[in-house]
This record gives sequence, C-alpha cells and structure tokens, in this order.
Amino acid sequence: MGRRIRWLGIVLIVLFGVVLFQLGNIQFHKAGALASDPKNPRNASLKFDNQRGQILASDGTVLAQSVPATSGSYKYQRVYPQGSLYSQLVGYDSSIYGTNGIEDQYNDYLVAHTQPAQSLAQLLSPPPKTTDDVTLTINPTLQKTAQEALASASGVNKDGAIVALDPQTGAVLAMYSNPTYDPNPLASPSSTIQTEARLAYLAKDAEGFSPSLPIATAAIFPPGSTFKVITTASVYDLQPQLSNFSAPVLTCTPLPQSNQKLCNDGNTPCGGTIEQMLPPSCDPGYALLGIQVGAQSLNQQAQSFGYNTVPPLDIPGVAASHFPSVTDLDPANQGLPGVAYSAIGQQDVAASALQNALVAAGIANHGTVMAPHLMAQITSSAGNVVSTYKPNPWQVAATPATTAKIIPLMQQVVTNGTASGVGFPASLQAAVKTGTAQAPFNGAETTDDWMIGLAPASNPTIAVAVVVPYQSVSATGAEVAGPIMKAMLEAAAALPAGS
Amino acid sequence: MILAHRSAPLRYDPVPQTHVRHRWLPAYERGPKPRRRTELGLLVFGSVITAALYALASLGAKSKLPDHLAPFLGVVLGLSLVAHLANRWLVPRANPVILPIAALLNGIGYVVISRWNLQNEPKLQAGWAALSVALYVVTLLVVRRSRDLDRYRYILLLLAAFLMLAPLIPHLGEDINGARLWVRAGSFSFQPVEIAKILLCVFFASYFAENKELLSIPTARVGNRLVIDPRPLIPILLAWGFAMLVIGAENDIGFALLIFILFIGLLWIATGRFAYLVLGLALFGVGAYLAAHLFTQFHERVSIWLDPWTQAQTAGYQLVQGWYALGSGGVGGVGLGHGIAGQIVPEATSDMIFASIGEELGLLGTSVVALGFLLLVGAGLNVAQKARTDFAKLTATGLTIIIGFQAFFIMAGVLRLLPLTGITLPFMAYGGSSLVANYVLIAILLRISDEGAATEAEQVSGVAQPGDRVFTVAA
Repeated sequence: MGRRIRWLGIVLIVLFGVVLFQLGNIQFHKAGALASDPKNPRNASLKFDNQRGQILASDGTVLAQSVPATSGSYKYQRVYPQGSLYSQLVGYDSSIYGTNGIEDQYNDYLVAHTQPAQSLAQLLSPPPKTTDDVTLTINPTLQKTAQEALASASGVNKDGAIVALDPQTGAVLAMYSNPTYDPNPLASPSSTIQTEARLAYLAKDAEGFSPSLPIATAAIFPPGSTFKVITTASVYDLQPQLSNFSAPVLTCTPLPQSNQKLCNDGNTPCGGTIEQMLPPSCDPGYALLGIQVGAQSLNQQAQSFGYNTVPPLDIPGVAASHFPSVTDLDPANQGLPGVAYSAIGQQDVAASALQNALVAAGIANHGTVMAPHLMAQITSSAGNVVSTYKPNPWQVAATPATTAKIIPLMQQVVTNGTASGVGFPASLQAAVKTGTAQAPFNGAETTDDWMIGLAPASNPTIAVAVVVPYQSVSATGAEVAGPIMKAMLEAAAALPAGS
Repeated sequence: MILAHRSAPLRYDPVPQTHVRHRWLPAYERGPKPRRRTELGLLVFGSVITAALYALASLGAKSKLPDHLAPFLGVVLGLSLVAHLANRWLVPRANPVILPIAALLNGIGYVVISRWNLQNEPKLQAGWAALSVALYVVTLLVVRRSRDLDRYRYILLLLAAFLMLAPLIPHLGEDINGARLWVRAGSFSFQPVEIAKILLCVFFASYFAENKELLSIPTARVGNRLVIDPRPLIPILLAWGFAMLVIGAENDIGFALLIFILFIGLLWIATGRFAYLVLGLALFGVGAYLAAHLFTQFHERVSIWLDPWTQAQTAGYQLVQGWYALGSGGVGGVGLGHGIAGQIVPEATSDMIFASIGEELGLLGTSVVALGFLLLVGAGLNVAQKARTDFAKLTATGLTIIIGFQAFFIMAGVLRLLPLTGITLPFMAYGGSSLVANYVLIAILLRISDEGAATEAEQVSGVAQPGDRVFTVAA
C-alpha cells in the first residue's frame, strides 16, 4: 500500500507541475500579450481616467462626450445625449465590453494621446495629452426623419433600416436601423447596469433581430425587384445587343431546365421591351431577359456595384452582400431557373440596405460608386484640423450612358409604375425602384419590402435605400417602404442649401 | 507492515477499553511537545503574513492602513491559537505543518475576499472561519480514535446520502448557476456535498480496508480460471452509483469527478490491482460520453474550454477575463489593492479566486498557493504512510486525494488545462460549507497522524501511551 501511496504522490506532483508550467506560460510567456490586449478591460481603466474626444454630427450636435463620473472607480464616463438614435453607428465605449462603431474605429484619435511636436520646445518637453473630436457626415434632420418614418411605417413590424448617401461623395447622410438600443447603460459606471443592458441588447425579437445587430450594415436580404436596376445595367453595359429585347406578354413563364413556372407579382400579364418592363416591374419578362444576359454578365455587373465585397464603410461589422458565382448558376447546380430568379433579386441573392443604397448612389453618380464614409473631419481639442475625409471612388459600376438611360426609367416607376401610388410630388424629381422579395420566415410566407431611390433626377444629391423585412405576404415595397422613401426625399429637398 | 485483523486486536493498553470510552474529556498530557512548538511558530508566522497582506491591500487601495489592523491580527492569531491549543490537548503528536498551511491559505483567501468587499462576503467569511475552527475542535473531540469512524461507516453512508439528496428536496434546495447544490434556510445557504465528500471517503476507506483481500485475490472460478469474486464490489458500486446519480441530478460535474477519482484511487491503493484503474478509465470514458449528451451544462463548459476567445463576450467571458487578470498580473503582480479583477471577473472571490490572486500577487503569488497545496498533499500522504491501520491509511489517502484533486481541478479549470467546474479552491474560495468541511477534513487527518506518531513513539520507547489502544506493531 505504501508504494502505491507514493505513486499517488508522484501523480499529484506531476499534476501540480503542469499547473505551475501553465502558470508560467500565462503569467510570464503570454503575460505581455494578455496585458496589452485592447480587449483587456484594464486598458479601459487607463482610458476612463482620462477625458475622451467628442463625436459630433455634421451640424455639431454632440453624439458622444466624456463627463466626470458621478460614481464608480473611474474619473470619467461616456454619455450619449442622443440615446438610441445614433447608437448603431456611433457604437459605445464600455469598460467591460470594449468599444464598437465609430468609438472603435476612431479610438486612437478619441483617446488621450500625445500630439506630434509642433516646435523644438515641445519636442524637448512634450505637451500634455490631448484628445481629438470626430465630426460625422450624418445630417441630424435626415437621421431623425429616418427614425420617425420607420416608426410610423405601415408594416406588421417596425424592424428595418434606412441608409441615405450623398452620391457624389459617398458621405452617409443618415443611417438608422430598428431595433436599436440606448448606449448609455453600456457606458455606466456600474458593471451590473452594463451587464444587464448587454444581455437585454442581445435578446432577439419575434423577427430574430436583436438591438445589437445593426440591420442597415450587418443584415442581408433578397433585394427582389430592386435588383432589376442591375440586370438592366448589365444589358446596356455588357450585352448591348439585347437592348431591343422584347418579352412576350405573359402572366407566368415556364423556366427552362425545369418544370417550374415563374409568375408575375399579382398575377397580372406583362411583357414588352426593357423600357416597358422596368416601371411595372415585370417579373417573367425580366426572368427571360436574365437568362439571355447569362450568369457571367449578371455576376460581373452585380460585383461591379459592390456585391460579394465588404463596403469600405468606416465602422466595424459591415457585411458583404451576396450574388451567386457563375459556378453556383451553372446547369450542374441552380441552372437557368437560378439565373432567372437571380435576375429578379431572388433565390440566393441578398443585399444589405447599405449595398442597395450604394447601387442607387452609383446610378445617381454617373455609374461611379463613391466609397461610403461616416467621418467628415477630425479636429484637435485646440480646434486644429487633424484629418479631413477626401472622397474617393470605390467601384466603377456602369457607364454614364447607361445610367442616363436608367434614371428616366426609374422616374417612370414614380409617374406610371409600381410607385405611382406613393404620392411623390413631381417637384422632387424622384427616381425609384420598388422591391418585394418573397422570403419564407419561420415557415410562413413573408415579404422583404424594399425601395431604392435618388433625387432630384437632373442632378442627384441624395441616394436612399429602405428595407422593411418580414412583412405580410400581401405587402409590397411601394406600400411599406414607399412612404419612408418619400419622407426621406422630401426632408432632403427641404434642407437649406449647402447643408 | 502486516496488519492484524481488527476482530482480534493485540492489546498493549493497560487501561480497560470501557474506561477510556466513557471519559468525556481526555486528560491533558504533560511533557514537551516539539511538534506543537513547531506548529505554534509556523502559525504565528502565517498570521503575521496574513495581517501584512491585509495591511498591504488597504494601503494599495486606499493609501492608508486598515482601521482595525491590530484587532484583525488578534483575531487571526486567536483563531490559530484555539486550533493550536486543541491540538496540544487532543492530538499532541500530530503533523505540525498541516494546520499552519491551511491557516495561511485561509488567510490569503480571506484577504482577497475582504479586498473585493462584495456585499457582506468578508463578514460572512470571517464568521465561517470562526465556525470552522470551532467545528475543527469539535471533530477532534468527537473523533477520539479513527476506529470510531470505521465502526459507524453505514451510519455515515446514510448521512452522506441524506446530505446529497437534501438539495433536491423542494423548498429546501436552490439552483445557483445551473447546479442544484445548495440548501437554503432563511438567508443562509449551505452546500451539503462538501461534508458528504468526507463521509463518502470514510465509507470507501472502511469498506476497502475490510474487503481488500476479497477485492484483490482471485477466489471465484470462471471455467478453469480463478478471477476476483465480484460480489464484494456490489455494495460499494451501488453506493458509488448512487452518489454519481445524485450529483448528476444536481448537475455538478466537478464533484462527480472528484468522488469518482476518490473511489477508483482508493480501490487501487487498497488492492493494488491495476485492472481497477483501467476499468475506472473506461467507466470515465463512458461517463464523459453520456454526460456530454445528457447535461447541457457539460457540453457548454467543454465548448468554452476548447475556445473561450470567440465567445469572449458571452459564455467564455469569465474564463477570458480570468486570463486577462492572470496575464496583467505578470510575474510580480500589480500589487494588492491595485487590481480590478473583483469588478470585472465574475465570481472573483469563489470560482475565480485563483485569477484574482494572479492579478494582484502575480506568478509568485499563484505559485506560492499551488506549492502550498502541494505541501499539504505531501503532508497528508506522509500521514497516510505512517498510519497504523489499513482503514486509517486509506482514510488519510482519500482525504488527501480530496484536497489535492479539488485544488487541482479548480486551478486547472482557471488555467484552461481542464474544463472549468464549479468546484471550490479549498480554504481560499468564498463559501462557508467548503471552509467548514475542509477544516473538519484536516481534523481527521491530524487525528490519524497523532495515532501514527503514537505508534512510532511506542516502537521507540516500547511503552504504550495512556489512552492509546494499539492494534498492531508487527513489522
């Protein structure tokens, strides 16, 4: 027995030896990396004992600022005077959960840091640490309009997103998603409040959305008929011989390589030339056109608008939109039925509100999609400009000739097409495209209702995408997303010149 | 050493057995007690270290000495002294390092708990420490001979069964963090399995000691081969299966594993049959497979263990924050009073207390704690080696297995060597039941140690000590 007790002792010595070895590994070998990890909250304590720069809207409205903490162990705490209106782009700065959104992207400017020396004297005795303020491109009027329009939408749920861009610069003028959250509890000095808020913001609603997921940038949905704009562009840009394509007037068309039928929304017959089919959004005709254009050109055109690439917006967590590859659409996989459905933005095609706004912006800006951005300017606390955003192109999506042909067709959507019932005033010169994608959700048939648009058509200054997913099966893009689009374009037109 | 069967003990004891049993309080033994002198020195040393750490924590956090430093040192010394005097009186020849190490670990743990000052944890823990010392003395008084425990093994088993079932009783038990392990009475909750582990250990030791021949020598015949008669295994397997089932129902994997290792370890040490270890490993595999499919908690813990970093904000949060605390501590630690683990790491005073220590006291502090437990293990096995009956040997070994593996499981869990279980770090983690149980545990260890040392003394002097009954000295 004594020998075996000795063996037990040896086993325990070995086990404790492993513990000591791992302690050395963590507390000596990996200690530096763990201690300096930005996600280590101890680095937050360095942060929260100093003031942090402000985040401002384009007109100077304060979106985030540091104030002396009233309780807790840190000297400062972050407050967000606008609450949930901007949280999904501004993000938060939490002592437990780290940073997100603009707070994360421009953290190096916002935290107290040493400014580069301006003189020899400063080089010898560095000036005290200062912070920089970040001014965003967001227009508070449009942001507020987006929130109110979505809240009063006619759909069965109020989940959705609105993105408005300046097509000439790529500046994000408004970006709002519902559900959203109040970031203030996440920046609370009380860890209990932070933890509870975090849990609440991770909870999902009946549609599967949680406040912590910004629908505008992080969720993708079938774009439905809004994709016909890209299908049309692919004809003019890549397959000009199909410009005079004319589809037979049909309610339903049989799809080749299958026994499926693709029917028009509402089961009304339609057909004719591209110019005749886009305003009423003719599904069977565009399906046949898509088959003629082919997977290769559809894929190429979708990618030239930014599909399958993460848009370079300056916040973390932006999702890429999806268009099937040529292989996905070859006869061994989805085949021609897949091509037909992809041409009308269904099946595996999925876009974020941001991506669809970029499509509208590309059309509005003569075919060049400008890189979207939120930061307009960074200024030091002394008022000096540290950095200014310079607009730069992201994608060349179409030729100016092509967009010049598409914009009038989108205007016809307003005058005598699917959006004629929305009531856009003629003075807006609105050019839009509706989208109503069939989206099965939780076993029920629902629709993802879209509208993309730009105004004024003669010299567009705003491009907007609206998505309201998982609406009733009878709802349409015009009916649910239309009024939101109208509110956005009207608000933009009413802005004082130069703002 | 060959041990005679207990039914025919060799008596060297001049005092009639009945006389000893009825003496309510044992007489104080006069004469020098060198081991107790060593113990006293170590206890005073440990108390001073504890008080110094307490002062440092306050200096670090508030830049001033704690308000009640002298009374604090007084209480620590006082509690140590009470246990020490009880040792002088009741176990004068027992191992001199076990109590001081336990007291020092308890002291360091208390400093960390009081430093974070969560709700009223420090006050409660101080109360529990006082109660623990009281029950330590009571255990020494009641368990006058390790043989007494052997005699009442089935009563102890019943008591263990009741304790393990208690949390399942409606209105009495309560769930904490998904495990149903606590018994609540008013605002006071208790984890009965902590006491049950000691009772189970005593039962296993007693049963294995009595049946070790049957369990190790082939006596049954299958065909023309002699194999070990499986019948003596049935009651113990039943007891073990019951324990596992109950712990499984309470969703506590840590204790289930601890009891399992205790069972297999003692069985092997009693019999020397390697096959039991192999069988145990196979059973463990089956158990782990079933647990992975039956208990959601188990499944989740394994996934956190394999990759906490991708779920650092959700399920893996506690472990990741523990690592940040350990890493930020580095070699020397950030210093007592300068860390922030208590505000950030969930369960910084219980499950994650090892990480709290790692932040403020660094690799040096965590190594001291780990080595402290290793010393305790060494001392416990030393007691086992010198114990004079099979039962005492197995009990001491089992109790050491409990302390050693319990400490190993939770340290390895924090360090991600094993999945994290809710098992407590003995003597250090916040929690009354654990503290009380572990003091009772070392009281039994010291009782066995005293008996073993008495035998040694006899062998040297050839004279039996009064009050001792010696079963064997056959070499």
